[in-house]
Amino acid sequence: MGGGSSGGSSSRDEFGRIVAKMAVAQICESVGFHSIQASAMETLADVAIRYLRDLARAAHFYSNLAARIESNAFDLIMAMEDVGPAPPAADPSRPIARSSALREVMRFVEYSEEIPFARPLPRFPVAKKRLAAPSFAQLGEAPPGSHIPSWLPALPDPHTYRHTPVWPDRKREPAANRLEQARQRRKAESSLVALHSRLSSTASMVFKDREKENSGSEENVSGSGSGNAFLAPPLAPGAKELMVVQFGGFKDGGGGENAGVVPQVPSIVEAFASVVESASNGNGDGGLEIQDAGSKGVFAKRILAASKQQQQQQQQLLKRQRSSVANAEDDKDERKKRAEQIITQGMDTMAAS
Amino acid sequence: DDAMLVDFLATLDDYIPAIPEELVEYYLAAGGFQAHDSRLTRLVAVATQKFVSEVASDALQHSKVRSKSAAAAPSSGGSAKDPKHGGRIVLTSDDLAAALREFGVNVKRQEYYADSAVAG
Repeated sequence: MGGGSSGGSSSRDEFGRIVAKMAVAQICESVGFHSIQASAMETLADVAIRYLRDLARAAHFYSNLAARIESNAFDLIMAMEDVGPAPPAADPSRPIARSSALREVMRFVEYSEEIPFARPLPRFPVAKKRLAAPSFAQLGEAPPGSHIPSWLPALPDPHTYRHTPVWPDRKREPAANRLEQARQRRKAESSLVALHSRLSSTASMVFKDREKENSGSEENVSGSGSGNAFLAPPLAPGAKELMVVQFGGFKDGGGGENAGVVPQVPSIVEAFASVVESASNGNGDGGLEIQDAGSKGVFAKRILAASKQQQQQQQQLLKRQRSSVANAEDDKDERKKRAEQIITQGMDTMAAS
Repeated sequence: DDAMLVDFLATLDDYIPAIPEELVEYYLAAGGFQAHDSRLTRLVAVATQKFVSEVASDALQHSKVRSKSAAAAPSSGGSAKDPKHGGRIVLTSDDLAAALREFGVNVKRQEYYADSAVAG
């Protein structure tokens, strides 16, 4: 039975059905029941709702029959007679006030107790207030065209219906891009210079000692600046006290020598002393003019040009001393080589521009 | 007679029906009944309440008859009726169907539901 007979339950009706269930349960309780089965409650609530609707429809029908739209008490009484059990002897001449249905209801009101509903109820269904579009007069606008009265709703804003194309905005111009590129190159350059200085400082410490040792003995070692260690005459064993070079700056796994030793980072002058020396002694190629010493780029140029020859010997030195560690140092050398290439490219472009 | 009607309507002013007025007005509006008099809505509410209470009392009679017949069959009549008196009187669908039949409403209740493995 349930939903099908009552014509389906919409969401509006749902609330009404629930309230009807509550009312019906209260009436049953007043009659004497302690509890009620759920299906029985639903059935009884459905029946009560149908009764209500039938009463309303019948009363409306009777009022329409009398050419009225508003129902009054007599319509209702006649509807009650229709809905309720048939009176024993339906006499059309009997006055309506004497109807049995009415009398039964009156008796009911007289003898039964009042059972007020348990909960307060709001008025339902609740009508949502919809904001109406403002009219021309309300907005203070003049309607376009004299044929449009001002009490009509205003026309929508043009941005709501007009479609304009959207261009992708370019964040930067090409000139700014080039500037940005140059800036980044300079940054990379400076970091590589710092790397070089550290490498040359550590390697040059060994190189300096060797120079001091060998300067008195042979000619082709010092002075030329190339100072190829392989071309230097072999030392007598025990003739020179070798300085142990600490590679504290390189954090490798294989650098066992680093343990707990603070690396000595020589000052800038010291670091570049060997380079400057070799540069001033006149190296084979790269005879660059000493330009403005203040610019960092030129300084870097001098350093790099001088250290190009030193590069190989430094690498060999370092390789020999760090022969135990293979991978990390090789990577570093590769990276250094790559960095060298980038720097030289940058130098060329800078020299060209 | 008319005076009686008028008096009755006056007494309706004090009576508060069990079925709330908002519910009644909602369903009256659905049926097309336009009542600008609150006493008419109360009359409708009272009529519906009377109907429902009649059905419920009939169902109560049915359940009492059933419990009496059930108590008469076994020998221990007192213990069978005690749950009904001191315990719970439940309005079952069977009693309701029997009561509604006298009002012209035919309610058929399923014996069992076969839509799930648990029930069927």
